[in-house]
Amino acid sequence: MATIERLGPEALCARCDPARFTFKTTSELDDLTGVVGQARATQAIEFGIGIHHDGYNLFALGAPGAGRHKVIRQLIERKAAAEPASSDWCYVNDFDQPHKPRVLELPAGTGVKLRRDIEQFIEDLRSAIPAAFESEEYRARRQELEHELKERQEHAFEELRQQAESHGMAMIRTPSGMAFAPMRKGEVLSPEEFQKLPETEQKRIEAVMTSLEEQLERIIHQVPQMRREGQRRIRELERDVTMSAVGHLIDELKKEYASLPKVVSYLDAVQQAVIDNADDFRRQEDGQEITILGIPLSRAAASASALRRFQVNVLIDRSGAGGAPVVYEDSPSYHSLVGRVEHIAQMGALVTDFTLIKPGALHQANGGYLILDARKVLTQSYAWEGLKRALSSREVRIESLGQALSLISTVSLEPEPIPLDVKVVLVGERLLYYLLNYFDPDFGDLFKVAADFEDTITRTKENDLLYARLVATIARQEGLLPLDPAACARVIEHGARMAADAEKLTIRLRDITDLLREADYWARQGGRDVVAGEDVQRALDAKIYRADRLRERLQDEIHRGTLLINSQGERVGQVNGLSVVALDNFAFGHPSRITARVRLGKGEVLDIQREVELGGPLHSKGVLILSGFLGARYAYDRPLSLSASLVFEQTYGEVEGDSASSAELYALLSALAEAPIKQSLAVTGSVNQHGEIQAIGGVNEKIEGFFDVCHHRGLTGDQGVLIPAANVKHLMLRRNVVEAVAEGKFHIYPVSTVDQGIELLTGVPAGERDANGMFPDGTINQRVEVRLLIMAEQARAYATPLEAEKET
Amino acid sequence: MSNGENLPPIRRILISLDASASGTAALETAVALASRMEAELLGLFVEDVNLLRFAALPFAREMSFFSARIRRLDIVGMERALRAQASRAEATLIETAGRQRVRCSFRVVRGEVTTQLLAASQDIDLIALGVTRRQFHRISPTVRGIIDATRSSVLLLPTDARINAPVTVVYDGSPASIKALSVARQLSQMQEGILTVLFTEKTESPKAEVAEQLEGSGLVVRYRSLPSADMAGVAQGARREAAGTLVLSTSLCLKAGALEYLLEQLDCAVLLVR
Repeated sequence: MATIERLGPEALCARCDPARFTFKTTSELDDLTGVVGQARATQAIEFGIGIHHDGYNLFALGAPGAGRHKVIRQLIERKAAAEPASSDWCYVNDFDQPHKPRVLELPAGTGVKLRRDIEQFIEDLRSAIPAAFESEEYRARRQELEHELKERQEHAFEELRQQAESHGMAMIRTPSGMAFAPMRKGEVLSPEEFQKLPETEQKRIEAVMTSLEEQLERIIHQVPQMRREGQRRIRELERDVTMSAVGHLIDELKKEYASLPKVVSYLDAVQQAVIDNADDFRRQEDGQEITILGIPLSRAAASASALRRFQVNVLIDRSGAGGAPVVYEDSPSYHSLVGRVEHIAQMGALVTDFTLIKPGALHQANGGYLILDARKVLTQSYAWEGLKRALSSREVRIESLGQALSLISTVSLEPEPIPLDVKVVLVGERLLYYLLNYFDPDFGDLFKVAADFEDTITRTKENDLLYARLVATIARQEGLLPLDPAACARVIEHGARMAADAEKLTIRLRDITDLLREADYWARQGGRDVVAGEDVQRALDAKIYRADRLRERLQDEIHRGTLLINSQGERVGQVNGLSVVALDNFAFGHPSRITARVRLGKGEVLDIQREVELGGPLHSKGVLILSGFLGARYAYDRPLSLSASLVFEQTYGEVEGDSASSAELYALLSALAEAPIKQSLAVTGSVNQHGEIQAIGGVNEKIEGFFDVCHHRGLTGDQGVLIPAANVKHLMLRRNVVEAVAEGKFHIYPVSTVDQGIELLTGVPAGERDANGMFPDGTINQRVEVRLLIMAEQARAYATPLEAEKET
Repeated sequence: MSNGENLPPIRRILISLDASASGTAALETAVALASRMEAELLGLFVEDVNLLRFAALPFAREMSFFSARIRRLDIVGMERALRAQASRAEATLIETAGRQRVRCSFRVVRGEVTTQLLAASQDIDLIALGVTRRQFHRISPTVRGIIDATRSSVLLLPTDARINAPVTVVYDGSPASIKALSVARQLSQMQEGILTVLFTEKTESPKAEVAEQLEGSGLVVRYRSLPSADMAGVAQGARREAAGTLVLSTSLCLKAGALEYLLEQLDCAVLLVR
């Protein structure tokens, strides 16, 4: 029988010796300037932000709290600071198509200046234009034109009237028109008088009437034409007057912005619009009352409303900005990314114009860098689609969701799109990265650079010191008390525990920072000005205590006998398995009773957990492997006439993972060999078809879970846990466990094969096949093989009569 | 009569109604004036006998001013049209006067317009007539006939003109101008404004009878001399003082072309006092 060496206390926890540190407190240590353990990610980020080609946006993948944001910001801000400041962007009215505001790109800081200049220009016009229209020259000229028009009309009618008079006729006004009547002595001829006239005279009168009516018809047709001509000439006059007021003001502006052709073109449009709408500048002085839906508006309000079209909407102002922008959008909804057009309620209706266009994060970051949380982008409706469309088209088009999805056809504004030159950095979990890569065909084209952040670094003496400097840096940045060497060592040990590996250290900065903050709290509570090892330990204990209500309940139920766990004695077909419960930021282990029952059957190993759909696929896989192992080892040349059932007793939720498969096999072998298993031991580890024990996760929590049960009941010196030998390097156990092992009260057995494990559990040798291929008598393997042989014979005996009946 | 206080105030105002735009504007001004002076308003609609005679002619037809289409006329249709016009005029009068709570009456008469208006103005203090700008160059024979023959004062109201301040009166010392001064004083007191007196003769100080008449009126009175005593001088003086309402003696306007000139030069209401 092979002897398995118990692990010594030194193998259970890779201690960090405070004596290795030469500093008294971490305040003596220099800050870390670089990024610890993220060489791959750092290089990827530097490459991604350095390359200027389409689609080279970044996805920073890694576990939350790994310091991705910090590293990304640090690297990007350093690069952005050395880059030229990006442009200002303004929206202005398009006077020809007001629903399509045009965009102006201006040098940084010029947007606000242009806005001020235009405001001043409009203010100047508000006094200059009314003054021009008040001038005597304008009034005289206008009166002249009006009189001319009036005279032309009157002249036409007067001529006709005189002509009628010369023929003895009068042009008279009837209730609904005009007529020509034959007159005599100032009175219209009566019918009797008319009848008395000679026929030739009557005919003459009628002919004259017809002729006069034809002329009147021509005049009536000419009147609107004359009026239009008169109005056209008055408009021309008004344009000339307006031009005299606006001309020199706009020329000054055009001179100032001569180097910006788009601005000059806009100023030309402004000039034309002012000339075409001079009334807007005169409205406060005179004009008719202005109403909306019959409700009068004050003239000043109406004038201000009309003059809004001349405003400059400075969408992005880079005044005083040094370098390219670096923007982090915390709430990346569709509209906060691509911008939006706001509306204001006016007289019960929602109205908008270009001054209500608001920028999105893409506008803010244009010419620089935009950092987004991938999960937030994906959980906001249509934000991901909006982001992709902007990146693909390399322009930001502001549309409401209704417009983008063609849900509404009432388009209010279609602002001219803004050319987009931005580097987007998505920060997300690995799962999201791989899911996007798999399911979204655009993702690969748009996010070509992956910055994969490590969770751990290798634990070496050098890295322990580096870690101490990391701790010192965080403490300084966070304004925390410095740590003494013992505290620092304890943080490093916990760093290994968080990495679940004695040879690794976690670099999840969030967790480290949280631990330092909490240790600082306890140190201050204790009135110390340096964080000591006991403060770190207290922070850890307090954190566990805050989170372990469920663990305590489970332990309590075990102690009270509600959950049946034996830690002494022996039982056939029963073993203590170990499982881990993972909560939000806290995981703990606890033992579970695993039992096996066997009977004659057709070779199936029944996993009750799976049958009731409380077993995950990995758990089922582990159980199915057992059939393979049994068949291959004990019944390779005959049917496996066994029916076995396995169950995790008293579990009421889903069991997942294959870490209990070795325990299940031990229970099965015990049941077959009828060899009792020591209940003072617990088992973890998965098994393959060759009977080799394989590594599992959560080894520390599992050992501690069983230790707590035994410790509460009183350690007997026999108790312990069988773990896979491959897991020894992951051991970072609690101090009380290590101390119990050191005192010989508790044991950890590293196991490599099923045979080693069953020997430990039963105290009976497993046995190896001899030269004849037989297991030695009395060994577990021999007993199992014989039992299976008997079962096979029994099965054949049951089957034979039936076969004979068939033959007859 | 040394004091305007003793002059009979305007108690009855006659207005010729024809349902035209200028007639409606004149009506509103007349109603406002009647309201302030607590006068009674008499609306007169004259069914022009010349129109009826014309409609009886076998070839009578009219041309629409808007569409230039020719429509046949007959006596029945014309009478119907005039009745409809009279109804509209009456309704407008009642509605406008009712708003200001002015006592009013309405009459329809048939005959020649000038004759009928003159006949109706026997016991009338003031005749209000709307005049269109087209008529400035050539005062219609109706208006001319009334001004020449009536014994009442005549208020000529160009389109859009109202009884506005400042009231400006032309004073030449004639009895009619003394009466004009009295009327102007009443109008100014209604406006609570300034009264401007334009003397036809050059004078350094207000004449005693004028000062006496305006004494105790509570008005701010400005005295000015006209550049010349003719109508050109009156127009120039009124323009210079930015007259809102011009009051003058009818006798000053009897000369051919004088009234036409004045109306062409001014936009304000003109009150001719006889």
